Amino acid sequence: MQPSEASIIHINVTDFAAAVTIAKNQSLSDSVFVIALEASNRSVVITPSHRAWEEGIRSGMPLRMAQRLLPSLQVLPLDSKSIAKADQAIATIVQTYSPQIQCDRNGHVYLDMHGTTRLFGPVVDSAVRIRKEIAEQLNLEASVAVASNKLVAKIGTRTTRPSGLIQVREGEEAAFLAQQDVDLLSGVGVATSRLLAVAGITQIGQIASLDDQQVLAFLGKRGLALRDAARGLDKSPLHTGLSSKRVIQRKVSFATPLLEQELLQAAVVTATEDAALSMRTESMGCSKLYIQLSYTDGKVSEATCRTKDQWAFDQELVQVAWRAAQQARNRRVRLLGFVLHLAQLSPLMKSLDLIFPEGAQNSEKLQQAVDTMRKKFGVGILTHANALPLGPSERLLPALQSPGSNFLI
Amino acid sequence: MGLLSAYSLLYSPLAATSLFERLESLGIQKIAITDRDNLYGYPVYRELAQERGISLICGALLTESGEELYAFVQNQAGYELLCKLISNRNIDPHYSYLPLLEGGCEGLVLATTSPPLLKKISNAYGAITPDSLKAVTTAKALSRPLLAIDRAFMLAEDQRETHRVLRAIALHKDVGNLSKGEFQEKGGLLLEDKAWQQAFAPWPSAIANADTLVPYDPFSSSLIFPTYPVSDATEELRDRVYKGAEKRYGEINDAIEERIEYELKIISNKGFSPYFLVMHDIVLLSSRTCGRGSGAASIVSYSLGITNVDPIAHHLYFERFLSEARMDPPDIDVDFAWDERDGVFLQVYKRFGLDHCARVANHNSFHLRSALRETARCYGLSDQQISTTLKVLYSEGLKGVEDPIWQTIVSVATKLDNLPKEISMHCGGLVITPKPVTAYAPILRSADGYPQLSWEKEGTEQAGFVKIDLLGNRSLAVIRDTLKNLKEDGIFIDERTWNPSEDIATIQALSVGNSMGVFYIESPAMRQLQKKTGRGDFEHIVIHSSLIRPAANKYINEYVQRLKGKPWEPLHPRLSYILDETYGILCYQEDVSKTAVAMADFSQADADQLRKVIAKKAGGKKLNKYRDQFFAGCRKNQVEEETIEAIWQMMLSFDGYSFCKPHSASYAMVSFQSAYLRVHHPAYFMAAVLSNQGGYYRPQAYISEARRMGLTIEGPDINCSRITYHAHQNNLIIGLMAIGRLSRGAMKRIVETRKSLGSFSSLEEASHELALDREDLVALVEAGAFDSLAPNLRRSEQLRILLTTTRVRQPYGQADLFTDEKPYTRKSVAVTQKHKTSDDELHREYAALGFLRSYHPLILWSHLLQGVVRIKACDMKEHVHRFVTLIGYQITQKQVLTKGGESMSFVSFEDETALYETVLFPQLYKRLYPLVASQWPLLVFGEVQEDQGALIIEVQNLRKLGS
Repeated sequence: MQPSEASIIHINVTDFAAAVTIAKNQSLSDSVFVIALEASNRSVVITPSHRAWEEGIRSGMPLRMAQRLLPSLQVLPLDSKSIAKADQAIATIVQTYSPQIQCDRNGHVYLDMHGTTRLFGPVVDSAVRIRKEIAEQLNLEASVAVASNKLVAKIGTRTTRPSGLIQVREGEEAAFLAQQDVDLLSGVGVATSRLLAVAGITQIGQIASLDDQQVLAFLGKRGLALRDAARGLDKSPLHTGLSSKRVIQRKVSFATPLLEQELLQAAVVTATEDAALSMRTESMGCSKLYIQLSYTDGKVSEATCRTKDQWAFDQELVQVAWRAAQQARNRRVRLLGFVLHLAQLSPLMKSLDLIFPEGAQNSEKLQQAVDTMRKKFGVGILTHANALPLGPSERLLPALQSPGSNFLI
Repeated sequence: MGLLSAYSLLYSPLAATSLFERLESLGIQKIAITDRDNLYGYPVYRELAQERGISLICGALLTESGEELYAFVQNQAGYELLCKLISNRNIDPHYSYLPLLEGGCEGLVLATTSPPLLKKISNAYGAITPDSLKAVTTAKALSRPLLAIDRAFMLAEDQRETHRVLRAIALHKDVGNLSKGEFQEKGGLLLEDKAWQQAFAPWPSAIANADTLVPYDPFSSSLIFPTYPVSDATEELRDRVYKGAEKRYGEINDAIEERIEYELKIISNKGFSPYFLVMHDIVLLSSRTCGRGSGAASIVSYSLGITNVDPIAHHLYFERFLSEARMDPPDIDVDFAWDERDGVFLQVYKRFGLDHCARVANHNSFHLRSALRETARCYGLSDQQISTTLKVLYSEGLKGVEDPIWQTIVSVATKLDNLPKEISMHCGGLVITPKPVTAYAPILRSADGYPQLSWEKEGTEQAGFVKIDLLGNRSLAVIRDTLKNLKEDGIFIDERTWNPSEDIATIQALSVGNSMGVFYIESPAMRQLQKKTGRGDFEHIVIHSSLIRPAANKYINEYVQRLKGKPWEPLHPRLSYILDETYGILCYQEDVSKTAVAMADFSQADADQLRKVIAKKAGGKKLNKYRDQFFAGCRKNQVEEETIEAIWQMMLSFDGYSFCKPHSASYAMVSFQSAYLRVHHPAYFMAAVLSNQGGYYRPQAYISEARRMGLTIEGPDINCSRITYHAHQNNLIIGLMAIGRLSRGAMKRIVETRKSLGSFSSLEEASHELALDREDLVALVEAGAFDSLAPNLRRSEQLRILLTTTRVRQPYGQADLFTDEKPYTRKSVAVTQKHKTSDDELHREYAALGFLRSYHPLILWSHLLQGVVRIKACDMKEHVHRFVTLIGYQITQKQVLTKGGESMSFVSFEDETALYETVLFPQLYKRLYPLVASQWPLLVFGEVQEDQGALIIEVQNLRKLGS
């Protein structure tokens, strides 16, 4: 037998949101539930549990219809934090096997195991171990496939889901694909699937055997790419770019859910001043500011502001941060907190102007003076007036306000 | 002066009734309510003020770049100017009032708190309010007089939070996000006399000036309707009526003439002749109409063709429509074919001028549920949180809700309940005016861009407008299309002599409930009633269509029993002549009025008001007043208490919707026309029913019914189908419109290409000449539209050929693009062979059409049907009082509430042989409703019951077929 050179592993945790929910709470493992965002009239099922799927509930089905079909159906909110954590945990496990990984979200990971045989043995053995570790450490059942490229590996996991392992040896891709259902092929959506079904094309091999004219007639120009896929041709590399760029981050959680705009503004100003001070202390400036607001219903909204130049002073950053916060606040729901990032950091620019404009000089001097005071007496010693709202703010912002903040800018 | 009520939409939390109650309790004699840039509430205030003897000054608060200007109407010119100003602002939100006001404001007294506005408007007063004295200095400098204004929009400080929430709703914000100028943080309270005097004490002239404002009522005492451009409208009407009557009756006998003269006299005395002439012109704009409402009681309307039912033959009560005693304007509502109505509106606008026409408005109010949701959003709760909490709130009350914010939400939402929220458009109401509408009322622009009044039906009538209702009706289009299709096949029905209500076969069909597709009497409940009574004649159809209404359910069984011979006595001898024709049961709206007149000596006008109050479920004071009057009148006539109570209860069964006899008779005439066509030309009729959609049932139900009627179903077919369904002899040909995924453009191209080239002879020819998109070809193939061109080919092969043949204007296909040679040769032999449809093809066909071309959909589950022991629905009558199992393919279901508030359901099923009715009582329905909600065929187990000749299955259990 010719030795396999297939080195791509695809890991697929089916119905990831539901699987993570069950992993967190095993008592739900035999429950009929769905993950859905909102209990409004138009909300749809994001993911059904396996038991709900058996009862005919499908992703994308209107929630109302699902509830009508199954009155006992539990509706659970999307737990974005746990999902992100589970994604991260899977990435951590697979990183020990290969540096070449592509972490797509929602339980999809690709590994390129090329050159790891001496370390870990045959690729399929690594796949078995990875699957086992995910099951043992995270309580998640994964479908795992080994193939020579991402496309075949992905179809492989689709054939074995919700759980299982498959290896497609190099050179056997076309034969493996030929018998598979056309709906497993990426790029076959509802409309294409219908067209193929009416044309009597139900297996991937039938697409692979179409000549150019037929492909064009049946599927149009994009059909050629679909036929390549049906023949198992895929040269796409793994997208391994993990962002490791440094950011300065401040996270604020409110003691009680917050609605008042003035209080939010106070918190944003204070957090921005604090982050900006850290940034300037490292002699850095930033050209991107990101803010993410978290709401009481578990949802988040975000906004980003960018500049071609650089932001460094409180005066400009506070304005930008508040603008971003207002932009992000597109929902009428109480806030639990927010995260602020100062990103795309770069060394603080020296002004190249031979003659400094009067205003800029003054601002720089003022900022330096403020920073000196803050470093000496604490961040809260000097702040913008709108960081100190009147009224019930004290009960909401204890974590942000320094007892010694006496001076206003 | 200068009060604001909740008609300052999403601003003031002050309901008009609460405001007037407080004003009355304060002993205030004269007021001016000035809502923000509108007069929405004026008719309501006017009525409330009249009831309480308060003088009302019409006015509005005009907002100009954040500043406020009060405008008080002092005469007609002022009112017209104010209407013009408000209309301009409604049409253009950026419109500035100032240019027009700077040019003069005769008839309006203006006052402003804003110094800049005071400088700009030369004759404005300086307005001072308990919260604002900023105009004082400027007024003094400009030597302008001061005017004392309340500017109150709340009665108590606890309404402040409601005001805040209303502003948040208006601005789509939450209460925490409102900036200072967006809501009023303080002031705005209605002061008591002492506090008021104190507030304005330093400026006695301001109080004196306020006293000089004159209450002027701008509503016309005469009716607003255009004159008709003839020298003598009465004579013109008489002429048209007699000509029409000759056509209708052939010969005009004494009774007819007497009735015509009687009606013409009343119409003429009341000055309504132009109104009838205009209505006559309007109905001539459309192919066919049906008068609805009380207007059908008029022989004048009948003769003019506005209505189609003979009021003499059917004993219709003209006074329900018009009488010397009644002050309200005539109200003729006319139905047009649904697809012609918008065109009629356009022609009316064209004929009378867009400036002279306006649609009537609807005032939408908050209801507690929507108020709770809206309020909760303003307090920063997400939809999910709201839905979850509302479930707890409705079941356990506030004690079950943990978050304390809900205390505030419930408190505020309760205050929002019933406050006006927004203005929308009435479905068919229209007014026409002699001068531009803005001379009589402010207008706004409706969602479809046409002028719309500020007021609802009642306000419109109060203002003196004569309302016309032009409504859409699908059945008129069904009749029109059937007659047109018949004409194409050489069958002509002369409508002048067509009398379907006398047709024996039609009467017979209706007496056994064969009325699917027939206008107004096709619902399962109505068909069951038909079966129970065994009557299909016109008089009984009129009764039945009035009797089937929610509030009258309890009288239906009694009616059926009496009809079938149960002895009965009228509740009181005085009622016998009124209710004999309906077996002693109050059936029509006018029966309420007639009963009140007969039993309690009500005047005609009072009796009519009583009917209206009951119909509007108004309850409360008004109803109590009439109840007392009715009971007192009956007692005076020595009627026993028990009898009075029984009659009163029957009168109350007219709450909600109910009909007058003329309306029911008019609709029954359309029902008979439909039923006649169904009986004598079934294929043509069912084709029109399916084409016009919107019937009580889904297309599948009508297709099954057509099959049961013995019709042959054909198509959809590339060579035979039109866009809509049509018929030829006994064949019903499915239209291309049945193919859900086929684009409208493709449908048109198929029909047009066929028109120019003739029928297609091969797949290659069709593909080349039609040059349809891939998706359209797929949709057509799925539905079997090409089966006739290639009966031996599987549909998948048909699609391959269609897709690989070069299509005109399409770059795909195998033929050489640079030759003129066509990729087909035209065949001359017509193919008659039938396509054999595979199981897979049937499933796809069902998905494409929603029904099957040649079979009942149950064939899709035939593998599960084998071995099921069941009876056929057509044999049900042989199993009365036995427990049976049937296959149930659901057709429709109606959920109803029991007296105890529990849900139960009437479900109509069918199998391959017949349609049948079932009932699921509450306990069972609670358990089985998910099965009823799905479209999967069911095994229906239950007892066959017979109720007065109608069969129904009382369900004991349901199971999914195959489970």
